[in-house]
Order: sequence, then structure tokens, then C-alpha cells
Amino acid sequence: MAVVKRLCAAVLLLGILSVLTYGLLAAAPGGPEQVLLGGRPSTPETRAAIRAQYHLDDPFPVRYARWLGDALRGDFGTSISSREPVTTVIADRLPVTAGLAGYALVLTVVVGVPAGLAAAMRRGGRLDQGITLASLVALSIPSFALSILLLYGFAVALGWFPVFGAGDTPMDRLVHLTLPAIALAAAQAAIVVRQMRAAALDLAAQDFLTFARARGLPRWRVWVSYALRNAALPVLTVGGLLLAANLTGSVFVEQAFGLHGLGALLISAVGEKDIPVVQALVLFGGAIVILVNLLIDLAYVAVDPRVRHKAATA
Amino acid sequence: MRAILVAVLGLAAVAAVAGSWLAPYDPAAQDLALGAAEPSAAHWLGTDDLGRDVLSRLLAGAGSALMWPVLVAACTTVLSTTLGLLAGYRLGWVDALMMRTVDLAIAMPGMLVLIVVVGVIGGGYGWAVLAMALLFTPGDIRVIRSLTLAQRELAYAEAARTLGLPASRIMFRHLLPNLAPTVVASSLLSFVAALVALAGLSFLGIGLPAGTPDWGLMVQENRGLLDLNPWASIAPAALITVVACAATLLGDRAFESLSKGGLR
Amino acid sequence: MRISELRISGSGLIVDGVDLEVSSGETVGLVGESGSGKSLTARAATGLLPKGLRATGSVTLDGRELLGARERVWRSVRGTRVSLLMQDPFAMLNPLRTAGAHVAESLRGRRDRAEVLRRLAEVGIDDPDVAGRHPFQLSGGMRQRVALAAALAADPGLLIADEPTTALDATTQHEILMLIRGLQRARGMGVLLITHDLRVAFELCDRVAVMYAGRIVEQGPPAEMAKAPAHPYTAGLLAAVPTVERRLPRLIGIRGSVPSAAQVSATCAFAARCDQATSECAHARPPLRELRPERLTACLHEVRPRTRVEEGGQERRQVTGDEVLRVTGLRRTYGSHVALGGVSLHVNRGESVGVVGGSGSGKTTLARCVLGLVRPDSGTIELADPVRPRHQLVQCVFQDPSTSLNPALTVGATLTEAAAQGPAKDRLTPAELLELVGLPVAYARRRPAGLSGGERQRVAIARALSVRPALLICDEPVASLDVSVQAHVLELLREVGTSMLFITHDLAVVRQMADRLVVLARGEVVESGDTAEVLDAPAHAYTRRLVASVPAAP
Repeated sequence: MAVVKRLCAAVLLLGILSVLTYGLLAAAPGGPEQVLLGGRPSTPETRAAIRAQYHLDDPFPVRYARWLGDALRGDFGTSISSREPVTTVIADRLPVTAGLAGYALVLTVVVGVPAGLAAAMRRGGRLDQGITLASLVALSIPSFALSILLLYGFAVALGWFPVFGAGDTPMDRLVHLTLPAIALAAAQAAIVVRQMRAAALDLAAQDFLTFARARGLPRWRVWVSYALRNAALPVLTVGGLLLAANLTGSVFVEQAFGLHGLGALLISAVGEKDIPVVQALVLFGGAIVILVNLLIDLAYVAVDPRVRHKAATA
Repeated sequence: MRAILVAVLGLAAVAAVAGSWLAPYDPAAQDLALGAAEPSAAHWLGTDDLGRDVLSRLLAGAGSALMWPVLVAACTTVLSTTLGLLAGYRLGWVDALMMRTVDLAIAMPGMLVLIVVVGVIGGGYGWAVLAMALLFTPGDIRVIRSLTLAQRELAYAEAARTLGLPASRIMFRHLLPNLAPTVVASSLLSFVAALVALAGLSFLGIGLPAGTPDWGLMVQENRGLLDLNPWASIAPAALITVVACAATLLGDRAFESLSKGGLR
Repeated sequence: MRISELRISGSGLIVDGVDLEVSSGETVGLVGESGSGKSLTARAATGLLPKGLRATGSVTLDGRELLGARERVWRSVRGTRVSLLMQDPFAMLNPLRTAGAHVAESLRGRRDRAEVLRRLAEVGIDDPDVAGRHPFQLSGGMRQRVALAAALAADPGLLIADEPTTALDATTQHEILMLIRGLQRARGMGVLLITHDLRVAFELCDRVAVMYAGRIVEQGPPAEMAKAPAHPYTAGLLAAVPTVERRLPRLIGIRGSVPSAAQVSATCAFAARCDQATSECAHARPPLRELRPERLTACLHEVRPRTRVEEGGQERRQVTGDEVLRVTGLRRTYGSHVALGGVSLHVNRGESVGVVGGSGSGKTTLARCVLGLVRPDSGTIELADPVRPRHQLVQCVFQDPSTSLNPALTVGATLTEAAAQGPAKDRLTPAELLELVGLPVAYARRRPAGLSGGERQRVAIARALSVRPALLICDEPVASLDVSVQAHVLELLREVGTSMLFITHDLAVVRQMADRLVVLARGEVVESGDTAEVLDAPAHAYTRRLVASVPAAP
């Protein structure tokens, strides 16, 4: 029941997002014809052709339904600036962004989880203060500022990393994406560190952990079935936050490092008023965020018997 | 530590208010012959590719870089505190309606929407600021509401209701002071978020015409000069970073000291 | 197990030299008020002190020194030799694991389902389905039984039970205590029972040690201790404990408040609050001396028997015929849960009516309905005067002293604001109100954080009285207070002389406070009548169970 409810909420959200996205075309300065004409000369004939091609004379709901139907079939129209199908444009750019996001995610987990645990274990000590301070700083540095500082320090001044591009061979790409991935991962890792630390501290104060130790349970059991399982829940909740940070962050990082990914595509499309591309990207990004949040909700149901019980009886 | 943080923010405030007077050069004055030069006695932070003085442009941009975020933070704090208190105290349909809206708003990828809306529809800073305040408010409403919910169940709040005090008095005189640590901390965090987001927008070239003396825009426009005069883009990036970090750390400390015993 | 010279310190000294011995087959009680260090002593004895606290001295188990031992050594001892049962059954079990899993993981050797069910049956859980349930699906009493089965699964020789029943209902509390006693006898194990409740310790234990400000002040068999306490603190505690058997003309508390262990490390810990204290008491720390075998005291003097005050304080109440409250057919449901299923009762002017019942009986919902904090589904509430607003007719003293006052306001501001809600004529000033509840006028400038629990509860009473209500509702006003403070607050409530609706789970307290009694169970009135008659000769089965579960008075 609760699962159905969450599914409905996700669909509703996607619906709202798609209406807003489609509304962009109408809201753009100059109206839809002007936008869709792009750089072509505006004559009565071309305008009429555009109106016919995009069914602009139909009422808004009809146009929207037609657009949505096409979008669901994977057809977002053609890009105004490159005259290629939008899906092709996006598919071209996807690998760079996916590589960057994946790299950053690995860094986030590999650095964030142990650092958070270490801080909690040495609560109040030097290490804890250092990690807490570093995570606050990482949380407040804008990713583009961090990008520029990294770019200057490690690429220009020290020359350890390339200044530009995404690299061609896999190894080359790894080297090229290292600085951008660090810039992207910093804020996310900070979120994970703080959440992990709080979860571990909260857990350490729980009676059930003390009671488990008081019964002489082996260390691995206390760690696995008591500490880790219970700490996983609060950390899971920031999954959605992480993803949002990742998506937004990649726009800035790609722009700062001159990477040709989806983020850079979005910015250039916004700049050129290439509305079909913008629409597809926003819907794509929104759908990912909504789906991941849905998955996290479902994971919660799977892990926590209390939520499961509520889901069964509600 | 705290003194340093306050000093950093104080200096930033002075620059924001009096930046244009303090600037040694006209921020728009070009010296094409000089071009992008490294720091010298005449130009402490060097010049950009059009020969404009970097320090002067930084000082001139301080006002908009800091004032707008303050405005966003003020709007967000007032809106979220009032609405959060209202939802958490009144409950019922007010709360249900507000929380549904908040749930929807939080699930939206806000910054992306902002980029697209401001970028496509245009309208410049005014719109961006308004949209941003609306964007940050839902999260804070949720925090304030959940704290209000916890406080209203406590015996002192029940006693206040039993005494027949009006709802507004209970909300603002009884509950609000006990939420102060969170309100203060979250207003500072809103400031940081707005600072970073607005600078980010202008870094992406959205919302401002090219050539405006703005920190985010300077980072972007002078990014290509890292080998000629790195300061032209590093200095604004560092400034944004320092102010954002100082405000975050101050918020963190303020929360701790207020909730530990500021009221005791 | 033998504990000697145990000292525990964190940022300050908390436990200051505790010596205690528990042999197998005996039950030893460690009694003390909150902050006396009794729980930390238990933690130290199992090597589970919270981070940041250090223990020195010695804890030996069968002659083997454990204090300072490595975690590996402790782990080999815990569960199999010594086990710890804690207070809060709602926090003690892993929310993600089933009851059966808790028992199974603690077993050594056989771990099959039959063994798990056998262990659960040992603690009185005969329903095999319980093994498959998660803690959130079990009641507090059930959880405590599951926890007990898990704690005993590896057959320890010593069980340390830290306030095992404090969070439970009176009847459940009694069942769990009897269960612990039964298991202790059947298994021949040692039990160290830690409790704040003298009556519980006296009922269950072979030997009782009284702790005060981080040290043991008296030790001995309960019968002797009850008859002739050898330390003035024990004597004071005994005098302050209310009894269910009769109404005491006057309730006597202990003046002052409990010091920290560090403040009194070089003197008698109780000297500042003691009526018998001499200059010697403040100069050196009295050793725990042996009066006769099995009987130890840390007092230099012979304790004078307390003079029983037989004439009461001035009781201003005069019961008249007119009613200040009449509740008829009150119903309130939360979803499918019936909190109040048609409750009717009345309070006459000047009368004090007690409402007793376990958790879930609806007694707090009743109070909240009368106060207007909850809207009843049906039924009527009539107050003394149909014209004056409700808040001038009925006020309330709430349970928790830590949250009853707004921490952001001074005491004076709280009282001024409250008095302004009352009738405009003869408005009471904060000074008058503070005087009324026996607090110094200077307290008006303080904030609640600067007050002790008892003092806050006094301010809360003053706030309730500030509007001169016709009826005062007391919702468990002393349940969170230590015994020595509780008596003062109860005596104050007797003196103020307002008509009262006194809600409590504690029959001994209600005996002291109420003229008439209403017994609630699952939202229904099951019995009502004169307090003495109901408690001395309960008619309803539920009331009988309640009365039977009160520990015998010492």
C-alpha cells in the first residue's frame, strides 16, 4: 500500500516536472515560434511551416500530450542548434558525465565512510575536530571555486594533471577526470562524513549496543548486525541529497574544467535557447532524482521492519 | 577562532558597503596596452585581459555578491520560521497542505530548475533572488516544523495553552526562543547557500550581462588567464570560499553555543 | 563478585570508594536516588563504562581481577559469568531483529528453535509466535522478558539488573520482579539489583546497600534496616516513602538537595542535610564501620529515631456540596484505540479526587480533555462556572519537571504572564506566588536551568495557582522526582487547599493525597469510592491486582 502510494507520488512529481518543462517553450521570450526558428530567417512562410510542423495552433493540453507521448517513446525532437535528434546529442555527451559521476561517487564512499567513522570513534579528539572542520569547509566551498583552485594548483602550477579535455583511452580518461571528480566529490563526501559520524555517535549511545556487549556477543556480530545495519538507515536517507549535489555539481565542474558532458550541454543549450535539448535534459535529470528517491524509500521498507509493518497495515 | 570568523565576515561587510569608494581604480576602466598583467605595486592583484584592475573589480563586486545573499537569507528565515511554526503548532489541514507542498518542492532538483528558469526566461538577479528564496524555504520549513512539533508537546507549552494564552504569543514568545539555535544556524546556512548559488549562476553566465564586476562572473571570464595572471580568477574564487566557510563555521559554533547554554 | 574501593571519575568525581560483594545464590540491592552513582557502578562492574569515564579500584570475579582488563577478557566473562539487564525495555533490544534472534544469538552451544522457545518459556512467554516478532510489536513487559531471556541465555552466575522495572507499569513491574526472584532461586545465581525504590529493594533482596553521593552509607539486611536505620539518610528516606496502608498526617522530606560526590569527598556526604550533624561530620570522612556482622554504617553517631509527627499540617480544604467538575460519558478514540470509553466522574469544591490506573488506562487523556488540550469525541465537561473562561477555572501541574517551565523565560516572567491570565481583581505578584510555594523571592530572576527538579515543580504549582483556579489537576506531579523531594511537593499540594484531580500510577501517593478514588482501566471506570475503602477492600479484580503489586511498606 505504502509502496503504491510512493509510486503514485513519484509519477505525480514526474508529471508536474514535465508540465513545467513543456511550459518552458511557451514561456521563452519571443514565444515558441521564435525559439523553434532558431537562427533561420523569420518570414511568414517559415513561420507557417514551423506552426504546422510543431502543431502550434492546437490548444496547450493537446500539444503537451503529443509532446509527452513522443518523449515517452524517446523522441524529444531535434536540437535547434545542431539539427540532430536530441537523443543523439545526449547520447554523445553521456559517457563523460557518467564517468565523472561514477568516479566522484567512488571517491565519496571511499573517503567519506571511513572518515566519518574515524571521527566518531575519536569523538572530541584532534582527529575528530580536524575531520569535522574539513567537512564543514568542503561543504561550503562552491564546486566551481574548488575547481579553479585545483586547476591552478595541480594542473597549471604543478603540472601533474592535464588542464583541458576528458581524455580518449580509458587510462587517459581516468587521469583527465581525477581533478574534476575530486571537485565534485568534496561536498558529497562532506555530507557522508557528517551523516556517518552522527549515525555512529547516535548508535554508540544506544542501549541495545551496550546490551549486546553486556551479553558477551562476539565483536563481529555486534558490528555487523547491530552497528552497521542500524547505521545504514540514516546514511541511506542522504542518498537523494547526494544525487542532487552530484547532478548540480557536475554542471559547474564540467564548465570549469571545459569537459563536454551533459552539464556543459545544458548550459550551452540554455544560452542558445535550444529548448528541446533543455527539456530533455531537465526531464532526464528530474527522472533520475525521483527514481533514486523512490528506490531509497523502497530500500527503507526492505531494511526496517517497522516501516515494513506500517507498509503492510496502512 | 570565533574572533577570526567574525573579523572575516566584518571585513566582507565593509567591502560590501564601501567597496566602490575603496576601489583604487574605476572597475570598468580598460588598459588594453597593459592586458593581463601579474600583480604589481600599481595593481596589487594584477589586471585582466582588458587591463582592468582586479582588486577594484573585486571591491566593486562585493556589494552585489554579499547583499543579495543576505536578502535571500532574510526572506528564507522569516518565511520558513513563520510557516514552520504555523504548520507545527496549528497542525490539521494547514500542516497537511504545507507539508505536501514542501515534499514536492524538496524532491525537485532545485538548482537545475533555477538554472533553466533564469537562463531561459531571463529577468536577471531579481528573479533569481526571488526563486532562490522560494527554493531554500521548504527545507527550512521542514526543520522548523519538526522542532516545533517536539516543543509543543513539552509540558511548558501545554501549560501555556492551559493558561489560555493566544496562539501567536505561544508560538513567538514561548516556542520561538527555544528554536533560536536552529533559526540562527539555518539563516547563516541559507546565506552561504545563496552566496554559492548566486555566484554559481553568474559563473555559468546566467542572469548578468558580460563584463559586470561580479565575483562568479570574474572566475568564469578570467579562467583562461590562469597562466598569465592566475589571480584574476583565483582571487574571486578564494574570496567566495573564505566568506562561505567563515559563515558556515560561525553558524556551526553559534548553534553549539546557543543550544548548550546561550539561554541558560 | 567483589567490588572494592571503586572510584569513577569523568570531568569530576562521580563514584567515590564503593565496596560491595555479591555471592552466588543471594540478591543484593543497591539503592540510591538519581545521581548517586549506582548505575555507573553497575556499568563499571561489567566493563561497560561510557567513554570518557575512568574507574580505579578493583572488581574481581571468582578472585580474578577484571578492572583494567582487556576487552577480550571482558568479552569472555560477559554473558557467561556476569550479565547486565538495563532499564529501558524500549531501547535495549535491536529494533531490526526479532525476539527469537536476540535469544538465539546469545546462546552458547545449542541454538535451535526448540532451545529458543524453551528459554522464552522460562521467562513466562509461552506463545511461540513471540519469537518471530520484532520489538516494536511487543509491550514493555514482553520486551523486558525477552531481554531477560537474552541476558540469561549464556547462563551467567551473576545478573546485574539496573532498574529493570522502572519503565514499566505497576502490575508488570511486580510480575518482572517476581520473575527475577523465581529465576534467581531456580538457577541459584547471584543478583545485584539496582533501584531507586527502597520498597522494591526491601521486598526482593537478602541484603541492601544504600548509596548516596557516590558512596555507600549503610548496608544490612532489609528487615533490620527498616526497623532501625543506622544512617540518618536511610532514616530520612524511610520517613519520606509514602505508604499505601494509611494516610500519614504529615509527609516529611529531606531538606536541601543531593551534593555531587566531588563536593563532599572529604566530609560526611550527608552532613549538610543532616539534623544530627556535629562539627566532626564536616571535618573528616566517616569510614564505613561495622556495627555488628552484616551491618555497616558510615555515620559516626547513633541515629536518633525520627519523631513521628502525628498532628498534620494545616489542611485548609473544606469539602462542600457544590461541584467544581462534572464529567459525563467522556469518550475519546485514537484510530481503533479507545483511550476513554465513556468516563463519568465529579469533583466537589474542596475535595481531592485521585485517578489511578496503569499506562494506557486513559488517565492522562482524561486530564487533557478537561484542560481543553484534547477535544473529546462525545460526552460533557461541566466546570464550576459556565461564564468564566476555562483557563481561570482549571489549571494543571504536569509531570516532567525538566520541561514544565520554559527554559527561555525567567521564573518571574513565567509567573507574571500566568497571573495576567487570571481575574483582574487582586492579581497575585510573582513574589507572593513564590512565597506561597515556599521559595525565596529572589528566585524570580532565575531561569529554570538554575533550579532543582523539586524547585521547578514548585514554580509549576505557583504558575497553576496564579489564576486562582477552582480546580487543580495534578498529572503525575511527583513521578519524576526523588523520594526525598517528592514528600515536600506532596505536602505543599496538601497545604494549598484547592480542589484537586490527582492523577497517578502510584497507590501509595494517592493514599496520601486523595479523599476519593477513581480507578481507570482501558478507558473505563472500574471502581470508585472513598480512598481508604477502595484501597483496604478493593472490589474489582483490576484494583485488587494493582493493590497486590505494591511492594510491602518497609
